[in-house]
Amino acid sequence: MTGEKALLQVEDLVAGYAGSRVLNGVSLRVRAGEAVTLLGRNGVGKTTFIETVMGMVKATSGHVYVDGRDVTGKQPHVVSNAGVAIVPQGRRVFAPLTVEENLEIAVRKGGEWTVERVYDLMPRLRERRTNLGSQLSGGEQQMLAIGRALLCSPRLMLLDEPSDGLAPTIVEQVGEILIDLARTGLAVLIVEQDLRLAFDVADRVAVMTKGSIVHESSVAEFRRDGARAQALLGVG
Amino acid sequence: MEARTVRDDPDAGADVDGEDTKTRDPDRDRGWSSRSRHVVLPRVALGVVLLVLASLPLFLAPYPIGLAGRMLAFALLVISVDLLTGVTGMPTLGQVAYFGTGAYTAGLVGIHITDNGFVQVAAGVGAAAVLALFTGAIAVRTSGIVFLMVTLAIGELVHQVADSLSVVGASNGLAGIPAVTLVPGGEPLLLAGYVYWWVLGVFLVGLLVAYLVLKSPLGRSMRGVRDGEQRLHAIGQHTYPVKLAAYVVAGGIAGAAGTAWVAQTRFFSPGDLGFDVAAFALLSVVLGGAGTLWGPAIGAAVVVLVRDWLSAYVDGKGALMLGVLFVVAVYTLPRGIAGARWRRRSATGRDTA
Repeated sequence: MTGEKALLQVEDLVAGYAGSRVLNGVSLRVRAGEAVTLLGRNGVGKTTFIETVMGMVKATSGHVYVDGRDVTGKQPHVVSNAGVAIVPQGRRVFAPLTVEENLEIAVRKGGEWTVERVYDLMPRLRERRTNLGSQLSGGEQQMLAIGRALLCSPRLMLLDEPSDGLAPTIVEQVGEILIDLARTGLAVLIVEQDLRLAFDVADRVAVMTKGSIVHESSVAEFRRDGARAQALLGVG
Repeated sequence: MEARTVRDDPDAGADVDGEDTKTRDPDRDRGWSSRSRHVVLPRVALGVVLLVLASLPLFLAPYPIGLAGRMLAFALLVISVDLLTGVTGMPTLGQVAYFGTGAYTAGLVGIHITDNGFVQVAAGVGAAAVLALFTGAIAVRTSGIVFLMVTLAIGELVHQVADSLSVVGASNGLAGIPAVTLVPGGEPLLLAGYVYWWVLGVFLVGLLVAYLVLKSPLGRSMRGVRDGEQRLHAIGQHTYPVKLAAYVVAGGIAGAAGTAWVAQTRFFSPGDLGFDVAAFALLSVVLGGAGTLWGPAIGAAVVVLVRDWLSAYVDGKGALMLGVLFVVAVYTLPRGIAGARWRRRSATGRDTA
């Protein structure tokens, strides 16, 4: 690796599912403490990218480095222990566990995050601690998924569409939580459809089309050139 | 409290947000008072059930008492099946292997070494857990239907071994097992009522162990495996040790069930660990309500009642009646016996053991 050492360094990542190739050589870096948003239309491979980084989808070729360590093809729990946490699309909290159990299950001994600290960040969860995961509203589930990821004491958090299925006021709340987290020096890679949330949280934008990154710039630069953004994202 | 019935529906979490989140607040305050009620009520119910179970020998004849004892031993086997099937999400047909191992070990210890009941239980549980460790090490690498088939194979393998091994009486079964004693040199438990109390004791300890495991971090992870194994990976947990530990615990409990069974029947044959027993155990879990411990225990009692008692009145068509019972149960009680209560009370939002 040359130049500045990135926390997450992805090189020429190729992956897919039986017979169909979804990622055609994706390269992306996220530096320590940086917040990057990955944008793109439906079906271009954003979720597959996150799942491949996490080791949930097998990479055909290419490399994923976390803090200089090659974790390509490693099991998800190995990647998690290397300091990467995921907030999956659709939240995926454990429905048969209570809020507190959902959090405790992820606790790392000696990690910097504790259940209490998560409650302090999101007091709503403390109020709901004895409720089952299945009894929460979508916004509460999202908070729980974020809390669970934090308890892995990650250095990089991957968020897959945290605004998915949430009412606008709740998206705002989630956005504030994410902004707070990004300020603490946690690196964040956020896949989003909700541009406002993405731009509020992130410093840098990467745009994906058909399984590869076609544009990278700062958020400010990206917003200045509206026509270009529209062409890339196809939003009208 | 009626208002809560609508409000705290478990599905409410899906995709309704915002407005809904705000209107919940007054509910929660009321929730605390109703909560203490739902903590107390089950405890009272549990106390009554224990009292009734313990006093059965005082007013039941020897045959029904024996039936009740077999129900308890079978219920403990079913609880071990539920730990894997209902709690961890690994449907199994193999627990009869450990049930049989526990029974044969206890019987052999009784014949050749000591008639002390505690020693027999310890030996039976130990042997079953060791077998579960070695067989589970392979079995839990698989999941779903493959796991079901592997466990079926384990059950059949032990069945075949028991059927041909002369040390355990081969297909004739292991006979001549002396009655258990509780203290060295003490009186053997010959009266049906005393034997029943011993079986009840083993059952309760087994149930308590299952309950404690369920509440422990291991139990938490087991429920996590059922709900989403890959998510556990994603938060950094390796699930293989979790599943293996669950398998060994369940094997040990099935072994305890076997020792309780043999303490009562004082005879054990390969037929007692056949495929039909494995199938009935799995169906008891479905009938009772997978994932709760008490539901499958009741399911087991119903199954034994229908098979061993009701069938006497219908010319031994017990198996047929069980079949009808299961079809009816699947249609009318999709969550099992425990689920019938669960649906009505889901309003309170805090049962589902």
